[in-house]
Amino acid sequence: MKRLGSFIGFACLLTIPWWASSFWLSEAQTWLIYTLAGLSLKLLSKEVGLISLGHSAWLAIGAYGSALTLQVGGAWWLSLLVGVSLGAMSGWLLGWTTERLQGTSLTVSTLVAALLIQELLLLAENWTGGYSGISVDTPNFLEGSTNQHWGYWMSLLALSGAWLCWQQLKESTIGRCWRASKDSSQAMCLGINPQRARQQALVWSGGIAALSGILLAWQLQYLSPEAFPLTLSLEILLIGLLGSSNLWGLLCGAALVRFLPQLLALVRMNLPSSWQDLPGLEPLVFGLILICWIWQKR
Amino acid sequence: MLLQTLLGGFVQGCIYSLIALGFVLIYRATRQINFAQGDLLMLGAYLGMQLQLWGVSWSVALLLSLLLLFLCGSLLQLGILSPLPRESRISVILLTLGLGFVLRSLATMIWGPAPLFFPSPYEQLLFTWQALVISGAQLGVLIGSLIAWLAVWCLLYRSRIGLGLRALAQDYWMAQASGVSCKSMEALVWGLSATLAALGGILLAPLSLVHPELGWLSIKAFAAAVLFGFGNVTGAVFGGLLLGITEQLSAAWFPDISRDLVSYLILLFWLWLRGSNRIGSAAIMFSGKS
Repeated sequence: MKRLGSFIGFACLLTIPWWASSFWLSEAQTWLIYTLAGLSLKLLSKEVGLISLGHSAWLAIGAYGSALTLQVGGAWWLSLLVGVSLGAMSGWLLGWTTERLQGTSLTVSTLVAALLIQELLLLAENWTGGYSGISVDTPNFLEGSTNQHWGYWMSLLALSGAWLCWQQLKESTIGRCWRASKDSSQAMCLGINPQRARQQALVWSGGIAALSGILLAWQLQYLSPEAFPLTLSLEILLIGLLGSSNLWGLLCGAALVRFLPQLLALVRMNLPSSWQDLPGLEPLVFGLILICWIWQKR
Repeated sequence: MLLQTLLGGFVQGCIYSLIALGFVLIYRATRQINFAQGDLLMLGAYLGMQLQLWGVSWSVALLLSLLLLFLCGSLLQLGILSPLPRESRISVILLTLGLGFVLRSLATMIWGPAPLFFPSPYEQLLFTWQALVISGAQLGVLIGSLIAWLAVWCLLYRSRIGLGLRALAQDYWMAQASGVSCKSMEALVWGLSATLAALGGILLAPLSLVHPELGWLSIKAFAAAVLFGFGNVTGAVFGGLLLGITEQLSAAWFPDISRDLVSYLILLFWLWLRGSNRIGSAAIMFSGKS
C-alpha cells in the first residue's frame, strides 16, 4: 500500500510538465531543488547529528563552480562534475579543519565558513563579477521555454537519485559507521574513527548540496552573492528540520517554505488596499505559522 | 591612530559582548539557544526611539524599554517556551527563528523599512584626549556595557538569585530538589538576556541608525560567544571584545579586503586551534570548565 502511494506520488511529480503552466513548472522545479538541499542537510543531521547553518555556501560553491566551467567552454556534464566535486571537496576541507570540534562549536564553524565563502565570492571579483554577478550559460538542452521540461526532469532525477543513494548508504557499512559515530566513545570501541565518519558524511552532504546549487544556477541563469544569503541557509535548515526523514516529509517541508510566501502574496492581492501596501506581511504570517506549528506539536 | 582603531574595536566589541552574554546566560541556565536575540536588540532600539518620539526623556525611555523587554523575554519563556518538552532543543531553535521573522516584519510594518535616526542626549558631545577622539555615542557604549557587566556579575556571584541560577546551570533536577524555583529562574534569565539585548540596541542606535535588519549583528555575536567555549560567561565578554577589536584592526591594516573576511578567517582559525588543543594553558585559563 505504502509502495503504491509512493509510486502514484512519483508519477504525479513526473507528469507535472505536461499539465502545469510555465510559471508553476518553474516554481515546482525550484521546489524540487530546495527539497534536494534540505535532503543534504537532513543527511547530516540524521546520520551524524550535526546541524549546519551554512548550507547556502555549499549551494554557492556548486553554482559558481558550474557557471565558471560553462563560461570557459566546458561541456554541461563537465560543469556538473566540477561543481559537485568542489562541493564534496569543501565538505572534506570543513571536516578536516573542524576535526576535533563538537556540538555548538561545529555548528558555528559551518556558519562562519558560509560567511567566509560569501566574502570570498565578493573578493574574487574578476571571476565572480562581485556584487553585479555573472550570467550562466545554460546548457543547450535546457535553453528556451520548450526545454523547460528537461530542467524539471533533471531536478527530479537528481532528487530521486540522491534519495536512493542515501537509502543505499544507510544500510551499508558507511551508514552504520555514521550512526555509530554519534557516540564517539562507543564508535571508538567498535574500531570506527568518528572523525573520519563525520568527514565522509560532510563530503556526501556537500556534494548533494552543491548539486542542488548547480541546478539552481541553471534555472536562475544568473548568479550573484545575493542569491545565496544567510536566510537561504535558514530556509534549508527549516526544510531539514520540519521534514520528517522520508522523502515526502522533506517535500512537504520544502513546499511550506517555498510556496507559503507565494500563496500569501496571492491572498494579499485580494485584501483591502490599505493592507496591500503593508511591507513584511509574508514573513509575519510565515513566522506565525511556524510558531503555531511547533506549539501544537508539543 | 592605533589607539583610535583599538577604541573603535573595543566599542564594537562591547555591543557584541552584550549580545553574546545574553546567548550564554540562556544557554547556561536552560540549555536553549535563542536565535531571536538580535531581533530583541532591534526591538529594544525601536522602542527606545518611539518612546522618545512620544516626548519621554531619554533616561526614562531607556529604563522603560529595558523593563518592557524584560517582560517580553520572561513572558516568552513562561508562556511559549516552558510548555515545550525540555529535551527538544530543536523546537526552541525553530520557534525563536520564527519569532525573529515575526519581530522583523512587525518592525517593518510599524516603522517602515528605511533606517531611522535615534535621538540621544549625548550625540553632540566630543571628547579629545591627546590624539584620541571619543564621541559621546562611543562613550555611552563603554559606560553602559561596563555597568551591565558589573550588574550581571553581581547578580550571578553576589546574590541569592545568582546562586540559584548557578545551581540551575549545573543540574536542573538537583536545583529543583534543593528548593530553587526553576521555572521562575528560567523566566528571569530569559528576561535578563532580553534586557541585555535591548541595552545593546539602545547603546548601538546612536552609532548606527535603527532599521529592521539591525539584528543580523547577532550572528557574529553568536560566533563570539563560542570563541572561548559556549556557556562561559566571562568568555562571552572577552570573545565579543576580541572579535570587535580584530574587526577594526583588520579593517585598518587591510583596507582593500572587507573587514568581515579577515575576522571570519581568524574565527575559523581560532576554532581550529581550540578544537585541536594546540594551544597551551592560556586558553584553558580563559575557557575554564565550560
